[in-house]
Amino acid sequence: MSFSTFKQTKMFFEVAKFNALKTLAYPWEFAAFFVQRSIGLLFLSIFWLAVSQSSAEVQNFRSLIAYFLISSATLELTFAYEMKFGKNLIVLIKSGEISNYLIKPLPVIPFLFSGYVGQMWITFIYSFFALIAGLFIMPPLGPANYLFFFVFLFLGFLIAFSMNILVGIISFYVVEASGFKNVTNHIIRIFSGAMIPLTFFPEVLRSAVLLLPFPFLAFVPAYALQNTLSMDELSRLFFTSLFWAIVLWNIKNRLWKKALKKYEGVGI
Amino acid sequence: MKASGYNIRWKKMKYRWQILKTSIINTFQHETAYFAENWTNLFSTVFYTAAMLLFINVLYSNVKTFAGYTFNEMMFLSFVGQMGFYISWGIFDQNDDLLMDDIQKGTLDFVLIKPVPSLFFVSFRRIALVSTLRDGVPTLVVLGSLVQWSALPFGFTNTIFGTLIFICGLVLWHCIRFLLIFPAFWLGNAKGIYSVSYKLTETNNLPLQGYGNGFRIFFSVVVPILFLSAISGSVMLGKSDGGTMLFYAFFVTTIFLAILNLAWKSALKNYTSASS
Repeated sequence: MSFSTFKQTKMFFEVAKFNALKTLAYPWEFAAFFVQRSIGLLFLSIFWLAVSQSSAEVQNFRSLIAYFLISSATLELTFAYEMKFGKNLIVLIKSGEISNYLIKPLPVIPFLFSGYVGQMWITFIYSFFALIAGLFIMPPLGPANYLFFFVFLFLGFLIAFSMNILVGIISFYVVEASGFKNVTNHIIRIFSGAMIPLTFFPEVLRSAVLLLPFPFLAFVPAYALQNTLSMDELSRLFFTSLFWAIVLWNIKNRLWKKALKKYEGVGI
Repeated sequence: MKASGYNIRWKKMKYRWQILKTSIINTFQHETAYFAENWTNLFSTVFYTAAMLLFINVLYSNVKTFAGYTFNEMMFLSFVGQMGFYISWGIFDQNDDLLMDDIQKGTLDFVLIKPVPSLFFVSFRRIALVSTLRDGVPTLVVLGSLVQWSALPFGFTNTIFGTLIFICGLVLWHCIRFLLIFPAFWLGNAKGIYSVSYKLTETNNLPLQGYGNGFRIFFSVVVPILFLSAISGSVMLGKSDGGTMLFYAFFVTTIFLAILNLAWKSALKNYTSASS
């Protein structure tokens, strides 16, 4: 690691720390955060309990709860939950505040992202507990499951990161981009498996959805942790996620550069 | 004396109606000033409906009935839930955001110095009819066209009871959301606390009969969110006793309106404005 990279990493860490400390100004918001997430999980539990009572064919309630705990943690850890980083970018671009960062001699996206990570530190704690609870309810079959989980989690993070930026980029072109962000959220809620496990989808639809980038944000990491994957299944999922991670990353880079050239900030 | 009391009440009602009219006109001007810029919201609601329909279809490809509801009944329940969402969104959403910002920034002073009933005014200063019609009507038309209305066991009394419960549900939903905002008077910021309400909307996805007894009581008495769609839908479909439920709905709504008024007065005493 060169000296300048080390200095930059240290600066990003400080930015994250500063933003984390800022959130401590309202400690009750943390309690609310946990209540909000707990209510979400409670409703999912009530819902799926009712589903499992409605049909003997539906997989057992215990494994469903474990799945939702793990997939909700995964959705948070990949930063795909409600595309909040993208939402922050939309606000910055729409208000013109992004100019304050563009004039600074530093990489804008990593700088803003490190600040965002600092603000979201509470989600890591939630995700940790949700993961532990999920693993406790339904332990993985072997150490390989952990390895696959972390690989898919990392690729899911790259995909979600690019998606967040792409959602933000839209606001360079249209005044009100929050509608597009909401569209992305609705698609993610259904196709990531956050609302309904993809195993419930009809075979043809599931196969089609697994070719999209969305399942890698929640379903695939959780599935890899809870199930034994065949070599064929594993390689198919791995290469599909790798493909999307690379493609979206490159699209994001190109469009960001293009959008910046179009951007007209007041006062710069 | 009676006549003068009646006159005062009439004048108060007339004044509130004037506030409502002004809010509607003001919001209309605000919404139509940059109408073309907000079309993406329609795009978003169309996707939401598509996602919801897919969700219900996937669910019913795995089960024949869900909590005693057939596919058609579930579609109807979603229709009621969506109607509740769009009405509450049009009437309450912007007002909630404005109130939260006002408390945090101290700009609530501008409301409090006005010679208007403050709680009524902050509840209805924006009524987004245009957005509600633009985004809600297409969604409801699509959902409504997918429901086989003739196959539903509607009765006249149940429909009236269900509609009244639905209105009580809207009032209760407003009370819950405002009560979640009020901690901001003490804490300075309650956006996280208020965001709990987003999760509460997920009750729209589950029929009343899917809840265990404990949850049913909790979500109809302590946090009475079920009246809006689960209970009103259940009554309209003849799955719950309309009279009893309507009595509960009126009772709980009265209690919550009283709590809201008391909480508002208490919150205002704790309000530290920007200029004082």
